[in-house]
Formats: sequence, C-alpha cells, structure tokens
Amino acid sequence: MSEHIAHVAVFEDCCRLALHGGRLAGPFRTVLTRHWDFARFGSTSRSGDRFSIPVLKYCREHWPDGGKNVEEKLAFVVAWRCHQAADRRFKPVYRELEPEHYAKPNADSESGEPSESRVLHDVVVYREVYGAGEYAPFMRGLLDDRLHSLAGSQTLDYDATFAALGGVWQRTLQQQHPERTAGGFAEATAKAPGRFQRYYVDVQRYAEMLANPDPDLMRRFIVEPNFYDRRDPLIALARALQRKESLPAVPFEKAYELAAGQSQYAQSLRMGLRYVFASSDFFEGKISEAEAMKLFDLDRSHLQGGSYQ
Amino acid sequence: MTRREALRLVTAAAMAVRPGYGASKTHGWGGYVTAACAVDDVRRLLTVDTRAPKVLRTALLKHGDLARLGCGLPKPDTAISLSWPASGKVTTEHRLAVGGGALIAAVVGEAVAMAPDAIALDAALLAARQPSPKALPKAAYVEYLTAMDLRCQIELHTLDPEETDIHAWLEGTAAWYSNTRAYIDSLATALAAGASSPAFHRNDPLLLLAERVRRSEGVSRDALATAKPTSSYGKGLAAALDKLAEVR
Repeated sequence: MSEHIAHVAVFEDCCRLALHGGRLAGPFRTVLTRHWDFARFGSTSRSGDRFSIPVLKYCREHWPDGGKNVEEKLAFVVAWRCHQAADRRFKPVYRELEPEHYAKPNADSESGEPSESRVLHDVVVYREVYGAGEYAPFMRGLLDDRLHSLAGSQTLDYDATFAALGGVWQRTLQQQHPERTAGGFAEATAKAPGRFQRYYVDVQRYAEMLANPDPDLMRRFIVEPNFYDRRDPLIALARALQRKESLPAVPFEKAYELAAGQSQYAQSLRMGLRYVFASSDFFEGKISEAEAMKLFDLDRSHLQGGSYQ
Repeated sequence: MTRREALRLVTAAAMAVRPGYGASKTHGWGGYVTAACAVDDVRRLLTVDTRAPKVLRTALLKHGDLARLGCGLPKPDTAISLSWPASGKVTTEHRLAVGGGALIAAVVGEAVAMAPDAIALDAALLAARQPSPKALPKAAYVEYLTAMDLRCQIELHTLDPEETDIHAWLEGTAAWYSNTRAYIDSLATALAAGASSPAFHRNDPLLLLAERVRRSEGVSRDALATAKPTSSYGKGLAAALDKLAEVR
C-alpha cells in the first residue's frame, strides 16, 4: 500500500486536472464541487476495485435524486479510482526500493510497520504538494512533533487528546460494521476486538523525517527513482490550478501525454486521470462495462502496476 | 433483519445505552470523549488499585485501544467473566479489555448522567490534562482538533469498508464524516467558552491522582485509599474501580 497523504494528493490533483480538462460529465463536476472533502475518504479507502463499477452503476441509475447519498457516493467513487491509481503506481515501487522490508512477514499489513519509502513519500508530498502546510487540508504544523507549534497545544495535552478523540473515531467507525458488535454484550466482546481500525502508522516518524530528512533515504527513495519532479508539465499544471496561479504554457493534453515518461508521481496522475475519465464515460454510457473494467486495469493486480504507459 | 435495519438499531442503541449520553444540547456524540477519558483515568488508577483480578487489570492496561473501543459496545447486561473463552484470534484478554472498557463507560456514564451538557463535560475533561486552564479562541481549537483528526486518519492509513452492504457503509460513512465535523466544532465551542461542567472539577482528588499516574509521578495505595472524590465524574471513577473489583 502507498501512503495516506500521497493518496489524498493524487486524488486532489487528478480531480483538479480533470475539472480543468473539460471532459468530465456534468454530474461529476457537481459532486466534486459539493463533496470534495468527503470524497477524500474515497482516496483513502480500500476495496475500490471491487466496488467502483457497482457503485457507478447505482449512481447512474439513481441520478440525480433517486437514491440515498447518490452525490456523495459518486464523489467517493471518483476518489476511490484515484486510490487505485496511486496503489498501482507505487506499490511495485516500494518493493523495488526496499526489498529487505518486504521480505519481512506482515510487511504490508496493519501488524507491520510502514516502510521508510512509504513514509518519505508522504513527507515529500506534504512539502511539495501542500507547501508544508500552506495549502489545505494538511495545515502548517501538522507534522510537527506532537503538534507543538499549534496554539491549541498550550491548553490540550497531545497524547491524552489523541487517545480520547482517536478512541471516539474508532468506536464510531466500528458502528459502520454492525455485525462486529451485534448480539448481546458478551457476544460483542468476542467479535469487536477481532476486526477494528487500528492506529498503526506512527505519525511521529513523519515528524522526524520532515524535521531531519536522511540524505541517503532521499537519494534512494526520492531522487534516483524520480519520485516527484515539479518541472513535469502535468505536476506544474496541477500546482498552478491548486494555487490559483497563472497556467503554464504546456496545455493539459500535451502534459498528460508527456507524463507517461516522467516522474512516478506524474505517472500516477496520468493513471488516475484515465480512471476518472473512464468513470465519467461509463457513467454517461459512452463505454461498456467491459471497456470500463479494462480501462480501470481490473485485470491486473496492484503489484502488476497499471497500464499507465 | 437486513443489515441496514441492523445499522439503524445499533446506532439508536449506542445513543440510548447510557442516560445522559447523547443528551448534549449541541451534538449527538456528546459524552463520547467523557467515556474514553473515563476508561483511561480508571486504567491509570488500576496501576495503584489492585483489588480487581490481575488478569482483568492486565487486559485493561495492555489494551487501551480495545478498552476505549468497548465504550461503543452494547450495555453490559451480563457480568464480565474471567473465564470467557477465546474466539478465533480474539483471546480472553481481548474480551476482558473491551468488556472492562464497556463497564467503565457505563458506570461513569450513570454517574454524570445529570450533567446538563455532555459536550461541556467532554471539553472539560480534555482541558483538564494541562495545568494551565486559559482558554483560546475557538479557531485555535478547531485547528488543533482538525489536525488531531488528520493525524488519526494518517495513523489509520485507510478506511476498511463493510463489504456485505457497500451502500449502507457509504451512507453511514457520509453521516460519520458530518458527525466528526460537527463534534469538533461543538468541542471547540465548549473549550473556547472555558470548558467547565458541574459534573467535574479539575481539583477532584481522584482525577488528580490519575493525572499524577499519567505524568509518571508516584502514587501510593494509601493516597488512593484516602482520596475522596468530590465531583460526579470522580465518584464515577471510584464506582468503576469498585465494579471491576467485583469481577470474577
């Protein structure tokens, strides 16, 4: 799996570019305008390959107001596809860069620690895409040691607040899985611990890497593999759109074409854009379900990568 | 019963489990932070109070995340049993941790049920962890709690959808997201207003002892034995310790 901030960034950049590119169906424009913040959860949710087409079909059949939360579901599924693009581009990369980590048992599960390359990708994306907190939603100070630079740290203890608020988040997320607490009290004690969302990515590692990036890790995981290059026209266009700056000379279509041979991040945007446009075309009935499945790379595992070239 | 009906029932039950919980003027999650804080304060006091069976104390002390998760379980309508069998990968220790957490939340919930505003008590318990009680503007709290939310999301990495009914999960997650925004806003409002509640005061002797444990300062059994709680919340902590001591 790739990382949280990188997943959100790929979604946000893909959708900025897709909205700019002018090929999106009207309903996609509507839901991305209204539900962008909620859609971020689609970019950081699992199971997207399994449910993208069923949810798109549901949204198409129930649009505009025939189903429950149809707008939110459509926004979510767009971001869900972007999650799959990030996974398909970056999962193989992590294994190439750190084979020693992925040789460990449980290296890619909640019982394992995220690899150094995954954490470093997020830190670099936080700095490059979000200006180290200048641009929402990842604010300045977010990756500081225990949020010490935020004013709230003067009156709230970090660890106690994380435990309390984080505990509320976990119990309320668990309520979205009723069978995990179904039955009476005794039965629920046997079910609930078996499967719940654990906090297993130590965000303090982010703080350390942001404050003191290891030059050798930067060389191995960022510079030499060409993870991110702000000069790539697709990335430059995304940054200009995000920051409401004047647009670069290279137009969208050309930038999209060039991205196939550029940095890993640019390639992930290209793949995500293909998924977003295929979603839009499928929603409008321009392509068949079989064509959508092909364009979504559903015939390929994450570790096989995507057909982004 | 369909899964969607089950989801509605579970949500309704969670709101109705404890009188006072969900009774906030401002948000349906009012009392949820109180429950989590109560679990952690009792866990701290359990390092001094050794009356509860060792296996139960160990479970609660080792598995804080499970103990806090227990706050969302159905109301403990049967006694916790030290001889609960393991269930697959779920060990007896895991079951005792979530069951113990549920018991603490229920007992403290009863004790603070008369609090007029559950959100104000939530905020007061968060603010009680720093010695300086000065309040900041609401925006500072919104920023801090939003950052905390984002760090929670980073640490969770990804959400795990409920695959048996993806539409119910998407609808529930959309509601969950709205609730998280509203809860943060309500907490920030209460914190900026001074974070006080008649159900709690920061000089309650039992809370002071729990805070000393949290700061790794030594607390003697004598100090715990002579500490008399003076607030509803403190009395709830004492009652929870008594209940845990009865578990067999």
